[in-house]
Amino acid sequence: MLEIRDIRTSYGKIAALKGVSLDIREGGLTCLLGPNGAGKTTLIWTIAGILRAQSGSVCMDGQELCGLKPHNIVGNGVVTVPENRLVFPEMTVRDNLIAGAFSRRNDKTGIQSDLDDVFDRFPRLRERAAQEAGTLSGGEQQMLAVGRALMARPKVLLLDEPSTGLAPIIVQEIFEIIGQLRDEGRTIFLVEQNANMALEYADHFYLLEQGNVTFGGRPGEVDHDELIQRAYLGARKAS
Amino acid sequence: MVDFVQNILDGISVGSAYSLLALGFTLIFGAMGRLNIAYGPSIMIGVFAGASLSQDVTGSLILVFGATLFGTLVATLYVERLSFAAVKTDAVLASMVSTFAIWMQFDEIIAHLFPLRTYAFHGWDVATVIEIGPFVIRHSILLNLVIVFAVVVGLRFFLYKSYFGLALRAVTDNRQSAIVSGVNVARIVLIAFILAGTIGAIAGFVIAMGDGQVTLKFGLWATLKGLIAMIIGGLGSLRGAVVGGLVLGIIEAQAQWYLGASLREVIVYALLFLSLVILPNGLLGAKQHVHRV
Repeated sequence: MLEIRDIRTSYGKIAALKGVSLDIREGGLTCLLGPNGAGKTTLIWTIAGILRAQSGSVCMDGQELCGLKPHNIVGNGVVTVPENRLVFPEMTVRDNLIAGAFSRRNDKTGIQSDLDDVFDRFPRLRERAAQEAGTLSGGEQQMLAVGRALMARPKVLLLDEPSTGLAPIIVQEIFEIIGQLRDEGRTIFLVEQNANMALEYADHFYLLEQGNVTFGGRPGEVDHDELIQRAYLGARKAS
Repeated sequence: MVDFVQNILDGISVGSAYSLLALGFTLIFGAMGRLNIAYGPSIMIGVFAGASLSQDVTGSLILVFGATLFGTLVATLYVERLSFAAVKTDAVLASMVSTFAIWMQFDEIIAHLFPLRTYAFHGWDVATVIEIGPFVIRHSILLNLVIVFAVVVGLRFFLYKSYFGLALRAVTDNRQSAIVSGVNVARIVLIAFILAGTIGAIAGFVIAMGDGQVTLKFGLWATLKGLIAMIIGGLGSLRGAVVGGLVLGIIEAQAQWYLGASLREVIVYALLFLSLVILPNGLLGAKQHVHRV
């Protein structure tokens, strides 16, 4: 679905991504794991067009997305749920959701029916539809961020660390939502630090370390514990 | 007591124009998170365009307003391209300082094109008054109020009933969220500048007609009044901009009546200082949202 090839992105002189290649497969949950500072969020922002890659390509169904403006990338169906639940705190929940449909703003009836779908999926958002988003709890804001992304009718959903800063019980709930989205056949790219949780749901996963992809495979194919220990702690199992 | 009420009426008249200036500042500040101090001078370009038309060519108020609007929009978009679109989004100071540079440009341009420095600006005949008991209400007061009311209603309608209005609120609320939501932020910012320019042109037109003349100090004056009204009302709040403008107008009128014109400005700046110390968020300033977990 989305082919990422040899992406290089830098902040000034510091290279954050040193030639990242990976595939996000259609109708599955692809997960990217890695420790803090590995470049996971940088990769999401590069795919979303907010950061410019020095070189490389992001290709969706034969169309090059690299170099497009962020709103055109959303218009092409690649939609991000950013880290830290970036909602519009002073706008109502309903307006937050409608804002997510900006790329197809002329489709009034479609927006209304999608709004109903999101409210059916997240009944708590319906209850709070007229409330300012800044007054929601962290978990509810994360639901709102996911709902807003769904309003753009994504072909690919990019989720950036949805579990950050949430209580364990809420994290469980968020992952159940992600699992549900995957079961509906949606294409999801999940970036996570919470490796154990993510691997429960992933169809494929990659490991990103210091700007390089160091592993790609299916959960269950390898001994995760060793891989993850190596990536996160830098420790190697004695064998 | 009669004087006091009469001063309030006069203050509302002037203050409603301040409200418009503050609204323009607030729109740009909201969309960009930075000040455009060349806003007043941009309006000055417009009112001088209007003044030269009204002096030399035609007395038609619609044409004069058209020239004012055209001049203001050209100047506003020039500022937007140079100081905002061309400057990186994280370089807040650079873009504010560059608006100052453009202000100087505008002042010089006007000084060269209009060497006499004071030009007549013909408005409608506002000599007639309505007397209610002891109070005198000039027609121009009513007219100003109607215009401000119409602008505020129109702006609210745009912001809350149109998709571009929703997008402008989104960009104002959280730019990063707006970008990931697929909002074309550059276009929305351009719309915000056009709106601010249009409101500024209306304000400039009303003010110049009320004064019957325009001078080289218009730019400085408009920027100061708009900024002070915005700060008193509350940075980033549209309702605050309207309230701030009216409060500023009324306090000016009272100070002028009871203390004299020379002390008026002292009172105004003392008020600005006080409001910064006591109410740093202004009368109706934006709430500070806590990041919730």
